[in-house]
Amino acid sequence: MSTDTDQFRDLLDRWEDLRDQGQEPSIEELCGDAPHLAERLRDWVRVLKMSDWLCRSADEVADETFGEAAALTPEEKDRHGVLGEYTLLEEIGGGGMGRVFKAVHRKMDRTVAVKLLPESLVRSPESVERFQREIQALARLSHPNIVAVHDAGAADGAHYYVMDLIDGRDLARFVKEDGPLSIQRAVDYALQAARGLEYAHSQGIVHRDIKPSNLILDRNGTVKILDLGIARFQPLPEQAGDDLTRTGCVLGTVDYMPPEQAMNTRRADHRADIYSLGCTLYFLLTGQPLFGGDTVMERLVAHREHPAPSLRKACPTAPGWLDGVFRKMVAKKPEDRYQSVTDLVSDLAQRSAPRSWRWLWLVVLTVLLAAGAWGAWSARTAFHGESHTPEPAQQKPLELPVKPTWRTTSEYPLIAGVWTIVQNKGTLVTVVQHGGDFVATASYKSGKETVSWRAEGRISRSGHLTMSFVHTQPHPPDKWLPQTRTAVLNPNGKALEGYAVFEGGGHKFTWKLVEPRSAEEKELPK
Amino acid sequence: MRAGDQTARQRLIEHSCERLRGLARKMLRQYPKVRRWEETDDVFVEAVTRLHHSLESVRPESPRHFYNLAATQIRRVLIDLSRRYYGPEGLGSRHDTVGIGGDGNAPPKYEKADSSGEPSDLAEWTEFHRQVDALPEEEREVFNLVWYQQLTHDRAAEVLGVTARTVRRHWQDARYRLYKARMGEPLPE
Repeated sequence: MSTDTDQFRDLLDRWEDLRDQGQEPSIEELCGDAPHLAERLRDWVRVLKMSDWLCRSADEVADETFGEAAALTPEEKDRHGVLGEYTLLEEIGGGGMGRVFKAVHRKMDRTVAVKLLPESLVRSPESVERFQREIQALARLSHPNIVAVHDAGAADGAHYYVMDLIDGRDLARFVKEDGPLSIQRAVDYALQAARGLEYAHSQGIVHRDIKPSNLILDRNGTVKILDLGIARFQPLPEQAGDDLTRTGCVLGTVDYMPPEQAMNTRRADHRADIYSLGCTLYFLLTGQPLFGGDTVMERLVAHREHPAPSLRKACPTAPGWLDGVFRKMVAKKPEDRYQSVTDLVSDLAQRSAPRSWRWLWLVVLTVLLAAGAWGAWSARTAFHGESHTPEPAQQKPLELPVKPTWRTTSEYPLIAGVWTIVQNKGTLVTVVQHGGDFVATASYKSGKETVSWRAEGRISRSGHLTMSFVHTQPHPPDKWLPQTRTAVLNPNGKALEGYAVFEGGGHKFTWKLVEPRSAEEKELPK
Repeated sequence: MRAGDQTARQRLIEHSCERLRGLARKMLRQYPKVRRWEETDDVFVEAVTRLHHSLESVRPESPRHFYNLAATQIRRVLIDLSRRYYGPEGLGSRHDTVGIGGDGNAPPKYEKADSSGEPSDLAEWTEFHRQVDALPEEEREVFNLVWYQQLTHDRAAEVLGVTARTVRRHWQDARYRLYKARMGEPLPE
């Protein structure tokens, strides 16, 4: 029997070997010398043939497993030309959710971006309907920090949606090319993205895929959220490209994915976006994802279990409050995070400006004292024609020629001091000040253009103003970003005088203080 | 894989996770009701995370120990996963998908394996994994390495400290036994 068994196993091996070589050996031939084993061999051969599926190599399995996630069809790849009402001009991007083309509306002559969805996304009538419904909802959204979606359609079997064409770079690319951002910039961009999200959430739409590459910085310094609501259509994430490995794709963008979303997408609510934005903020400041690790699993598990790294350690210039905001954004449990983006916006805006009323009063007091000193000195000079060192402590302080007024704005939830200032060329500038920090915005005519201007900085206790961030529209911020900026509040002269060095050379500026004009502004509370 | 060789260990864990993902996707692919990406992605991530954890928490004594453990864990995770998606309370049963006939609220009916011999639904897959668990130890070990871990026969032989010929025999036996069990055919004397 043992001999029979050995002989049988040899026959079976022989049959397998021949089959591996692409032959189909007959049982009768194989069992020529041992016909009594033929029936047994036939049974085994039948069974092993039926078990062929178990013998596929890992590569074959992988192909089969991932093959379905086929990228675009050849037709899609070659599809340049006309798509519905749009003429496709050039491919400008691609990624997980399909390819993006610059296109022009044939009748309206409007240049837009058209995103072509892979067919696998919208295969069933139900998914087509759902897609159209979602796009309709997205098309109703209108916010400066959200890339507007205008239209959606189907043509030649391809589904697409149409959005604003943004002239700019996404923040992943921005950081990759230019390095990590300054604190002011990173906070500004995070704040802008948060405002877009706040609006989207108020409309019942959660992004679920917030990451630097989904935030586009246009040439005016405005951050716009891309692909809002579209993540829901992501069927087979291995279609994602660029910064993702195949493994990473399956798990989504793990570097920005909150733990609860990694465990169960349905559990991810609006607080998932807050977490992802926190990870994005970290990336903007450090150029690194929150958690390192060679493998996706390491990073996935880290998001779930490892404490978030210290922002200050990775970015020593980050202030303590920012580390606090960041930690609250990336708390493991959604209930430990900000419970709404509104809370986040409020906290971020508030903390990125002043820290306490004490500061505000100190600054006001300092300014008033300085004004008093200046006034006394001027008066003495006027009377006596000579200059004296001011003695502020002994003088009755003079009031500012224009009182700062106070208001609460949606943008800056705390009551803030507001000066409305007219530059020497007629520019209207509104300075919103929290303690020593300020945000100045202006809008003025420059030739045929209306230029809007925004600066952030700090007024020191001595009345010196330092601008740390300036951007202007429609010109790119870089062109206008002063490399050195300083100014002194000169209350008696009813002006803020300063000097900035721009690319083109030094530029002296004077802002004249005038009465506030906005109806929102109210008198200083007693 | 020496103790402390973290890189090798991580690679093995990653490899197992990859395989689990592939198998999970394969299983769910034949289960159209839960194929929508939200569902399947959750499944992968959860299953892979669980596997990762279970493998992280043990200190395997040898590659052989590790592979067996990993394969066993993969099976468990897949069986649990099937259970979640199969049956009246399963997630899959609560999702209807256009194009799928029958009552969307009912669990999928059991069907015999398709012509390829591969399990055709989650019930069959669950049964399949259970039957692997029930294989004689030597066959199960080989099956673990060759199928769950995708090792070559030579590599499996190395891990087990046997000849490639022995691996081949156990592999044939395991396939034979599994098929018979699945089809309810009696094993010959």
